[in-house]
Amino acid sequence: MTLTIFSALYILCVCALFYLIQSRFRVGFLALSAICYVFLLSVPAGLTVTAVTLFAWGFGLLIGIPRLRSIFSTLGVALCVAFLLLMKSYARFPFLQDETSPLHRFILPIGFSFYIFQVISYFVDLHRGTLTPEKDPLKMLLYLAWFPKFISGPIERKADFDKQLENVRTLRFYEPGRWSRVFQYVLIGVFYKVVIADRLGIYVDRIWESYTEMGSISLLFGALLYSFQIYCDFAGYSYAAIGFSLLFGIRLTDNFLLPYQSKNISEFWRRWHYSLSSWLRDYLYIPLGGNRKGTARKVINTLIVFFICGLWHGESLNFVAWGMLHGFFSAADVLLSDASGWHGKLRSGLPGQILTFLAVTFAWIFFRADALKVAIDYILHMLSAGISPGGIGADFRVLFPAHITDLVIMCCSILLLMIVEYLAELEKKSVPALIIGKPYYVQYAVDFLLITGIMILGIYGPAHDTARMIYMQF
Amino acid sequence: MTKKRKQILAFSIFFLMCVLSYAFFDRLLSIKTEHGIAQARDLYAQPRNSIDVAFMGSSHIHCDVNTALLWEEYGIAAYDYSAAEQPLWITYYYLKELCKYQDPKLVVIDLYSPARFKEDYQYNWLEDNLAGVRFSLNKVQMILDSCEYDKIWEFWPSIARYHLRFDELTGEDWDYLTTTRRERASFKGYTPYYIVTPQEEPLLDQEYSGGITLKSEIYLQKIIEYCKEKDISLFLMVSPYITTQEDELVYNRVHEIALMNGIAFNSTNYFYNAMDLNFEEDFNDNSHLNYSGSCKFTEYLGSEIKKNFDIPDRRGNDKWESWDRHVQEINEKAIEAGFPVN
Repeated sequence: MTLTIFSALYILCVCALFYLIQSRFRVGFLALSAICYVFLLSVPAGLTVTAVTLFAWGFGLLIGIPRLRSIFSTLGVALCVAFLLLMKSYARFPFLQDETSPLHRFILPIGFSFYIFQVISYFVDLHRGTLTPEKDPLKMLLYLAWFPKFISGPIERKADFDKQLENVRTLRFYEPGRWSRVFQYVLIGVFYKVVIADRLGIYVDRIWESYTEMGSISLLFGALLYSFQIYCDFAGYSYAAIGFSLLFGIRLTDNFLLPYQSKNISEFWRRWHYSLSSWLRDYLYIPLGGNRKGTARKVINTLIVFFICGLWHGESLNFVAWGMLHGFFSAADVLLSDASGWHGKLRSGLPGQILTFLAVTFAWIFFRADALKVAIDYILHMLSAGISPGGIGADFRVLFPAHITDLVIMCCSILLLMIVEYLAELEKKSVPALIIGKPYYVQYAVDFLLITGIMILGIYGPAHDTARMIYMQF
Repeated sequence: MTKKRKQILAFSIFFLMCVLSYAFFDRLLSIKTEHGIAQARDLYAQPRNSIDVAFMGSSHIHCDVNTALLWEEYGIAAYDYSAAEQPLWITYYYLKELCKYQDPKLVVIDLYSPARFKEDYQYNWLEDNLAGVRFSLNKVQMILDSCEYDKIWEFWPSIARYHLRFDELTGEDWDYLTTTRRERASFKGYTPYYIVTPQEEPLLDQEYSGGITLKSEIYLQKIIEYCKEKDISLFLMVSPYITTQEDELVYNRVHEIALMNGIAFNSTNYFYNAMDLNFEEDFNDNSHLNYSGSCKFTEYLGSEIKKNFDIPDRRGNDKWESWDRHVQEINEKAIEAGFPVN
């Protein structure tokens, strides 16, 4: 869901009705609320998710018939992949680029990449026999269109989601600790997104718009800022989604487990966008053979997975390059993890953390760029530009023409983020969980600072588009 | 104290801190223009039921109607409750807002805005019209009638527009934190201009009427009905400026409406001589009088009001002492700007 006043008001209304209606109607009510929300966001998106729901539900029942299992699971997955590829490749088909064409509006529905992966996981789990077919179409609709996670995930597994639905019917308005968790996740999510990510985004955009005129230090600064921007944007959204979902007793997957605390790239992918990386592991990497067929095959499987990961984000070459870079980093990590001696130091402790962060930051350049050529150009400028003609001061005057207040706020917020996440890492908890574990007066003090920070430092208002999230485009 | 009570106390302190924090930053960061925000905001600082005459409409009111002179010469407790380019639909909601806190005997409305601006949604000065008004159902209705649906969130909540003003804060913003209600009460909306720009006297020979938009006419009618319902006298007028033939079409139409409803009307552009208005010295620009022009116009307006309406003389009454302070402040500013004060 988007972080807007409309979404907040919608959730409040749904929440109020949720606790007023009879508990046996709650699941159906949530399903209808979810689809209403999607339709209010976008009618084509609503129609698409409804069609996909009927498709998933129908095919699921057919897969449940033993003699039809193989053919319909294969066909179902193939259709999902085909439609996903078609959507990602729309740029190749001129008739789909015509914005006045009805097809254009349907071919780029919001959130499609996320829920179609859920459908694929559902079909595969049915085929494997780890799941039974969903007979209730409303529960299928709720699984695919659940509005706190609609648009940008997390990518939930049917079995996990169904477990959460068991709580829904028995949930009481007041349960010790739940409301505290709701507020912490929502406040921290909104702070990450609106105070940190959206502010960084303004300056990242400025740097990228004029990178050919800037010096190396400014471009390095831009790359570092983007690392924090994309993390805070996506993690902030995910925390808020978890918080809003907890209002209704549904616990979503923690998608971000302090990824920049990772000591090596393999660990990074166990912490970054966890729902996607675990999906790729369970439905692609393991079926390919995983690490069961020797180191060489493990490396190849890793490269394939990251190639697909890049493609999932977009079929343009910069995303493929980003994916492949991570593939090479992961492959190198596989080889380093098997090696003994000083190599081990490169994937542990502070050196490992710094190296991992720099590697990830380098790869993000390809992710941020509009095209592969632009990414390479940016990197070449970063490495060769040296000090810009007017000096670094001139670059910063372009970025901060009137005041450096925003620079101070950005630096302080990134520093604060790093400190808090370090403390969270020490306790092996997410940031919201860290705060939740503290005494109530500490939580109130933190909440007060978060609310005040969001109020006076948040990038929101008529001049800003906070509804926009980086991962919405996927 | 039990743990539960401690938690309730902690939550109460937390909630109070959040409210105080919001109030503090809202007060510090809010925009404080005198194009309508100060006029709307400081209405709430006026003593209850002290305003006898409210002047409403566009900047022609708060630039041209000298509330200090009305007090000094006629004892009229007046307030310029106006904002830049204020359309009649906002004037209607302003009137309702005014009547929550005041019991005016007379409302005087300037008609420049409906004459000059014909769009159904006017955004140029909308923020100045909205930001000073307290949040209420009335304000919600004001916003809904003033904005197209997709623009509503651009104007509410107000803090969304100004919360990042840290780099623009001036001494006035910091001073406002400690400005007391008593100090704000001496502001009566009047914000004169002090520049002299010679103008050419307009030709007034428009015989036709029309040109007012349907939305403006509907809200004018609502204002008329509301005043009748509240037993408030209504006076429709046009303050002096360099008018045009198109504008005069509208004034003629409003004159017809006024006659149909038995409402006083005066387009003072026909009475330059009666006011002794000097086109070389008394205008700030082609739309506004300067301080000396506003004094002449207000003197004329004050005598018309005294002649035609029963407005009490409040001079010497303690409840209205803020008008005495207001006169002092306006005179000091006029002297500072180099204008003579009687």
